[in-house]
Formats: sequence, structure tokens, C-alpha cells
Amino acid sequence: MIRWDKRIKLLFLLPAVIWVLTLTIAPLFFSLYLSFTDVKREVVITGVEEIPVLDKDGNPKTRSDGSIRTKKVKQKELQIKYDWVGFKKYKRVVNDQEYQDAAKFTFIYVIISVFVEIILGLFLAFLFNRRIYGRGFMRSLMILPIFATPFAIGFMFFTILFEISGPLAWMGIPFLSNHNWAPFSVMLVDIWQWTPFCFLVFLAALQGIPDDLIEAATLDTKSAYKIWTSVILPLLQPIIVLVILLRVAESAKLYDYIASLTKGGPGTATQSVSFLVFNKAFKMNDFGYASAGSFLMLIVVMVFVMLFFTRLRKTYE
Amino acid sequence: MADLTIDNVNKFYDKTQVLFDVSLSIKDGEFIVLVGPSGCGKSTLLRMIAGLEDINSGEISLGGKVINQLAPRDRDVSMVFQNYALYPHLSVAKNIGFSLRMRKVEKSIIDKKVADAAEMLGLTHLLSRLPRNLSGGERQRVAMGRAIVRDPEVFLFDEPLSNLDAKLRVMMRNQIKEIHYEVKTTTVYVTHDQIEAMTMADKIVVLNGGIVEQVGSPDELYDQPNNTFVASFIGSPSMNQIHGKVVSEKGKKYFQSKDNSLFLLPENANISEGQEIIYGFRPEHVDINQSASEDAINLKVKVDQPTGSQSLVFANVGDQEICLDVPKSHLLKPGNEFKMSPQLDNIHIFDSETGKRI
Repeated sequence: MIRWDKRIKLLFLLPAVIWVLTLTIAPLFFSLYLSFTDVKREVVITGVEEIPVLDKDGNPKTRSDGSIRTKKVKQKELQIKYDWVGFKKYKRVVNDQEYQDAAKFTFIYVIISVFVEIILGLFLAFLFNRRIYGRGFMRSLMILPIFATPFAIGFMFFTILFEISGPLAWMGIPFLSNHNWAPFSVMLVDIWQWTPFCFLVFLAALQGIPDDLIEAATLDTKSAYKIWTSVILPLLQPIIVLVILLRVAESAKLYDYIASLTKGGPGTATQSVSFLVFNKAFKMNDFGYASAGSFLMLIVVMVFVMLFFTRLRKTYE
Repeated sequence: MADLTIDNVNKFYDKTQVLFDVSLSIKDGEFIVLVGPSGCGKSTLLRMIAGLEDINSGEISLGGKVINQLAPRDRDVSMVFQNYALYPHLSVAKNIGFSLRMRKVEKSIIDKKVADAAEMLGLTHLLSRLPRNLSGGERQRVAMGRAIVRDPEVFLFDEPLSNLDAKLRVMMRNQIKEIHYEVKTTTVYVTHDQIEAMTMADKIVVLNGGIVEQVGSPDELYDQPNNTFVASFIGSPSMNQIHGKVVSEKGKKYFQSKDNSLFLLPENANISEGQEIIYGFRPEHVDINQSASEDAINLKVKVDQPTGSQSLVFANVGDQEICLDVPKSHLLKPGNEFKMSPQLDNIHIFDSETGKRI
């Protein structure tokens, strides 16, 4: 009986297992496979067929000798070929100037936006971690950006930053058309949308710090800065590491803002790895390149995440 | 010297007043215990001394200097919190040395002072541990080490033993007293536990509803409680208090309870016939059976609670329950009758309206 119960448990797990296998694991390995292949879509002539030539009414035309007129038609078939090419695609990706630029942009983008989000989030959490009038309402207002769709946010900023008639046009700054300003604009969108998330998590963490710890510290120092650096920040450290981890993993996937705000432009100034890979795959049909490029980024992000996780585990032990 | 003077201090939270004209003077080196039921304002008063709460009116001065406006850091007080408030990310050594590091004391001096404090508290083998790897008693000692190491003018303790189990509490009580003998620093100690107050204090301050009910040594409070509140709060089990009035019979003054039981009153008592009073005597200040006087009353045992050599006997005078702490005897079993007379020297008489001692 007990055994049957156990099997039933497994049975209930099955839908989840199938879900994960078909929608996560299988595509993952398929794309790994793709990264080692050259995917070619070819039209192959499989044979020739003679068919009668028809007139307007749909009857077969006849020759003068009474025989039916025919024509030869080639039979075509679309074939997808996976040619195993080993590490060729990886070599190409690594040496590709376009990929290098995209990686560089993505890297800088992640570093700057996550850094600014953490700092701003901490600062806002600090401001909100006291009794101020209408705190609850303000807090709800503050976290609204989290719920918006990134793609739509991109369009919203496109209207805001529109250089000819947008509300910021008077500043005369080429937000989207200058290759130095455009990356900044994209970061601005990310910071606008994700600072509230950092703020929310940090605020929760701050409110979790017992008051008497802070009071104990005020008996020893007058400087709020010292209390922050020697008590509050060390206590927040595990949470900060966690937020960095989440934000880096998330913002490294940058695609939506680019697709709706800059389309990677001007030129390739704001082309992120994800955006480049997407275009390579679905606009240029180079699935091998796209898969290889994605896996390279996956490896970089994974190494980073692992480093941070070990760090996190150490602080919790 | 660091005499601590509290002069007519009031405290409001919004519109609720929690302290009413509290005045105290604490001599250098004294061990003062603020005791009272929860919500009586004792912790608030302590936090006002520390500078963690504003003072709405009145003055607190330390060593002759008013410290109302001083930041907590500049008051030269150190505090042990109820939940210890140890910094979880710092080792025991770093926790103890924290206040010195904040004051930019030289590292070699910090190390020495930390080592000394650890030695005094028996923490030397734990110095490299983190607080989460310590037991409750050890954390408590670290919290004390953090206070001691600074060598402040005043120690403030906010119910430091309330999170410990009973056995550990008794041990820590001794240790705190020992340390006080050793360092002789003025100490203000807050507790709701009157036994802690009785055992540790040089002087007890009984607070109730934001008002100082009585200030005095443990003996004074025990022998001469100012009013019924102090009488029932200090001492365990509490003082028996019976409502009734004064009557005269055969030239002697008696106290007559609601059920007409008569208790002899001391002759010198400043009361007049017919006066409504509260008649108080402590459970241990009674004579029973053979040793009882001729004015003894008869009672019936309701419950007995043996405590070893003694026994707590509960009986009713009218509808009022009284408790007696008497030598254990096989005669004092539930249902048995016995004679009892309170000792005439140890009778407390209070005005029944004001509750004040007469």
C-alpha cells in the first residue's frame, strides 16, 4: 500500500516534470546542439512530374494531333540541414567585432545600471525607513514601475526622449540619436524601472533590523554615517548581494528596452547580446551563431552568479 | 563624581503622559533598581537617561551637568538591552570593543580592555565566536562586557535577565552584583521582577503608572511600605490586605473585618474608632496555634503549598483570601481548623481611601 502511495506521489509530479523537460531542458540542449552546427535551409529538387496543361475552363488542352499537352514541373522540398561544425561558430562569435561590441555594451550597461539601482534603492529605503506623512501611499506609488511591461516602458521613454517634439526636446540632448547618449538613455529606463524593486527589498530588510541594535550604536557614536557603515550596511550585506545577483541575471538579458526604444541604434551603439542574438537567429537565420553567442553569455553570467552564491553562503554560515 | 539627578521629569507620548514629575537622586556608585508593573514607565525613564527618548520637561543631570540636550554618545552612559542588541555580524571580541573603536581608541588599548572584560566575565574562550553561536547566558555576558569595557559613569540595564531561564537568572544576578562591587559604577537597573529588585538593589524605586510610589532600601520598602501598592508589589507572596474598620472593646483597639473577625491593633497606632482602614500583614509575620496570642482568630485551611521546610497556607477571612507562610505541619491540611494571630510588631495599617500608610 505504501509503495502505491509513493507511486501516486510520483504521478502527481509528472506534469511538472514534463513541463520542465519539454519547455526548459529540451530547448536548452537543442540550442546547445545548434551552437555546434551550421543550420542550412535548402530547397532540394526531389523529382520531376509531368502534369497536363489546362485551359480557362479547366479542361486539358490538346495538341493538334489530339494528345494532351503536358508540362514538366520540378518537385521542391524545404530541407533543414544541421551540419556539425564543432567550435567553428564559437570561434566566429568570439572574433566577431559586432558580438564584442554587444558584449561590451551589455557589460557596461549591467554594471552601471545595477550599481546605480543599488545606491538609489538604498538611499530611498533610508529615506522611507522612518515615520513620514503618507508613507504607505508614497511607497505604493514608488513601486508602480515594477509592474509595467518592459516593452511598453521602452515605448513610453521613446516618446519622452523623442528629440523633435518630446517633452525633453528643449534640452537639446540627442538622447537616442547620439552613440554616446543612447546607451545612457537605455540605462535610464532600466534604472527607472528597477530602482523601486531594490528600494522595496532594502526597505523590508531595513525594517527587519531590530531598533535596539541602532540604539546601541547611537550610544557609541553620533555619526549616522558610522552607524550605516559599521552596523546597517554589514547587516544588509546578504540582502544587497542577493539583489545584485537578481538584478545582474535579469538585466544581462536586456532585450525589450532595446527592441522598443533604440532598435540597437544608432548604428550598433545600443546593441545588447540578446538583441544581436535574436536578430542573428530570426532575421538572418544563423541559428548556430545565435546559440553559440547565447551560450557564451550564459557561461559568463553563470560564473558570476556562482561567485556570488558562494559569497552569500559564506555570510549565512 | 557622577551623581545622577532626575528633577521633575515628565514624558508624553503624543498626548498620553507616561511619567509624572519624576524626581530621583542617585549617588555615585549606587545600585538603583527601577521596578514596577509593565507600562509603568520604568524603561522610558531609563531610556531618557540614556538619551534614547526626549525629555518633555524637567532635567536630568549627571555629575552636576544637565544632560538633557546631549547626544546619547556624549552622556558617558552605557546600556545593556533586554535583547542584548549584539551586532550579529561581529565576533564577541569586536562586539565588546565596538564602543572603543567608535571612539577611535588605539588598537592595543582596545585589545587589552577587551581581554580584561572577557576575563572578568569568563568569555575569553568565546572571543572569536559570532553571537548566533552563543547561548543566552553567554550573549548576556557579552552585552555586559560591551558596557563594562567603556568604563562609563553610569550603567543602564533594561531588564537584562528577562530572557534567561530561572537558574541562569539567579547566577547572572550574582555576577552583576559581583561586577558592581568590583567596578563600583553608578547603576540604574530596570526590572519588573521584585525579587531581582530586592536582591540586587542598594535602593529601589517603585514606579506605578508613571508615578514614583516609593524610594528606599529593600528593607525600608519591605518593612515600611508607603502605600498598599508598594506593600503588595514588594515581597512574595504578597502582603495580606484586609478591608474593614477600627472598633474598641475592653479598652483595646481592634480591627474588624467585613465578616466581623477581630484583629488586635497596636496601641500606639494613630487611628480612631470607626475609621475605615486596610489591615496588612505579611504571610510570614503570623503566629499559629500554640504560639498564637489570646486574640487569635479561627481559620480553616483551604489549600496548602509545601515549599520545603515552610508551607504556604491559604485560608479565607470572610470572602478575602489570605496567605500564610508558616512552618510545615501535619495539622495544616485542607479542611483543618487552626488559630492564627498576626504579629503585633509587623502590622501595616493603610487608609482605605488613599491607600497611604498610617
